[in-house]
Amino acid sequence: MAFGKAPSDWRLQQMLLVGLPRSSFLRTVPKAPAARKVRLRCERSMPFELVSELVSPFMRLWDAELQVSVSDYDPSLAGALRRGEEDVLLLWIDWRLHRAMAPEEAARWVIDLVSASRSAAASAAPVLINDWPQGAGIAEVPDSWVAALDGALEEGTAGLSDCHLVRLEPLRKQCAAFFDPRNDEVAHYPFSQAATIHIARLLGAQILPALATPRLKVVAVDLDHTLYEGVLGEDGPGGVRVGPGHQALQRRLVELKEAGFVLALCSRNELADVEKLFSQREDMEIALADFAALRVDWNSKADNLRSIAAQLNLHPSAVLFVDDNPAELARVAEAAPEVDLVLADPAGAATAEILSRHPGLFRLRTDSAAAVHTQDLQANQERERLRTAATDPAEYLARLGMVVDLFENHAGHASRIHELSHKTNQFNLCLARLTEQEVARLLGPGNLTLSVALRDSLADSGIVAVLAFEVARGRARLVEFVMSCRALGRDVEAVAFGWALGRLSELGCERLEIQAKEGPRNQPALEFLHRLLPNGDRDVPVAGLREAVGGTVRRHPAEIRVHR
Amino acid sequence: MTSRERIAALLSEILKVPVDPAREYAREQAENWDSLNHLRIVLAFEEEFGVSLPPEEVVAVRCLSDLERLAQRTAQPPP
Repeated sequence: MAFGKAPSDWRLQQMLLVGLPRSSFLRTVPKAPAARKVRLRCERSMPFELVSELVSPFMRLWDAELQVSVSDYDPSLAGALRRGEEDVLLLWIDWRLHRAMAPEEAARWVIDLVSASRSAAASAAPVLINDWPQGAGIAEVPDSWVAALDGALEEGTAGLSDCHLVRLEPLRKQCAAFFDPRNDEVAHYPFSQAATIHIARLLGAQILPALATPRLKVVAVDLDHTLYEGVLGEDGPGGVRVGPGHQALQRRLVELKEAGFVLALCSRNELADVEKLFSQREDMEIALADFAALRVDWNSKADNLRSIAAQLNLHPSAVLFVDDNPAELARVAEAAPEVDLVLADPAGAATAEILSRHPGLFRLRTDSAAAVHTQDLQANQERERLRTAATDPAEYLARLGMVVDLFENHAGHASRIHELSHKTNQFNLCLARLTEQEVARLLGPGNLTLSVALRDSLADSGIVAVLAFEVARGRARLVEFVMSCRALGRDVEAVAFGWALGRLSELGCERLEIQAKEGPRNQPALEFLHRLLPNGDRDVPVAGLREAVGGTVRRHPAEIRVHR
Repeated sequence: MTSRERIAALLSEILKVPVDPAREYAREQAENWDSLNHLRIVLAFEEEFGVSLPPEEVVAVRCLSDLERLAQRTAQPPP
């Protein structure tokens, strides 16, 4: 059984994510067969072993195990230029060794090293680089030098594809003594035991799952004894108690919403009571409008969670459910095993901590579409109402007043294209998971990459789809076709694909090869392809395919605007 | 379990060799008792006995009996 479905798993989750576990406890966490293996290669100039030994227990939380290979000590990190078979390359740097350089120069050195590694095609794996914490109290490495280094590393890695920082400075602020001069004297390892556990947890529970697994997209929460103390139906809106822990949890949920996660309420209560609670209580730090989906009724929670996923056009495995009742969680684990589960602490504070560190809730970079998520998903409820009221699908689509903007090889969309390629799981035909380098190549001359923006009378959805084709000698190859689940159900995929086929004809392409790939969640994309090519062909004449999709495109009422 | 037995178990786990608490076990006997494993031993010892050792004592540890003395000293009430 996958991790997270039993009471012992929820206890382990709390022990690993709330407060700071002791290393002796971490060593006792039993190893279990894991669904995923992550190969991490570490090129380093200081010991990494003390950290890596403690990473695995945290990876139990997402059914993964770590395989680490560690280089010899080499301040030049020249090994980064060698070809490797890793999933992740970590450059683990004792930045004190570079203190003779100006901080910007030191940061530039490592950024250039990663660029050189990429040019030499030594590794296509994502790269992690540690920054440096302030407050070491070492005269030769003043905080001003460290602050300037960290700033330059932030700037440098932001401009590099698939290169991310292991930010030690924020961890230092959570740790009473991050540095330990004694450890430094004994083994040239500058960090304390507590710091080591913090770093291991950051890697094992946050950074590595963000690199290696599909992300969670929805956080659904119960109400009674979760968002507040008490039973709303018995205590009334004025009688339930909202303590500091509940407020911390509510603030954390709002942060998650602002980071692009969708919030949902899933509670056995009367909706009228819930509406009164949110409108009357001034000590609640979250509003009812922050939740894009509400299931406040007496149905089974498993059914409601599946229904929330369906409403949001998401697979249930994109949903995390938080509830204080182990029996309720057990029922969800039985009836909706894809849903990820967290046992809530009735006082709220521990739940807030779990949601700050839970695998799948950590984002390496800001989600550029975060601001439109909730509004767009709330609009989906109104769209569904219009769809049900319409006499036929054409009337429904016409009522939406859609505008589709098609951008051809628009370099300014590179970051969003990369993001969609990585976060889209359902309508993802090729599962290419493009690196930023690959995105840059596909946006370059000789290829055709369309980014598709959508808005209708209810909401602006932003850039929702990407189609990328390699074009050469009268042939095209579809290497990426993804569309956000928020845009499903409006035939925008057919419009964009149809337009792309026309453009390929203009470019002289007669045949198209489609690199479709079957994955655990991408049935919607495969079904779309199957409707066009029921015989399973993957190398087809462009003209024939245009004919197959043409009817939908011609009938579609959207205004289409092309930007070249 | 005596302090000596707990320390022997700890050394055995970190150095991946059998360590008999009835006999002395010194740094020279273990090829892999390097600086990193020395630090591992110290950190595990500190967590096991709930103490924090100053740098000079950490550097001075050479064998099982040194650690046992540190454990016994921390168990005694201050003078």
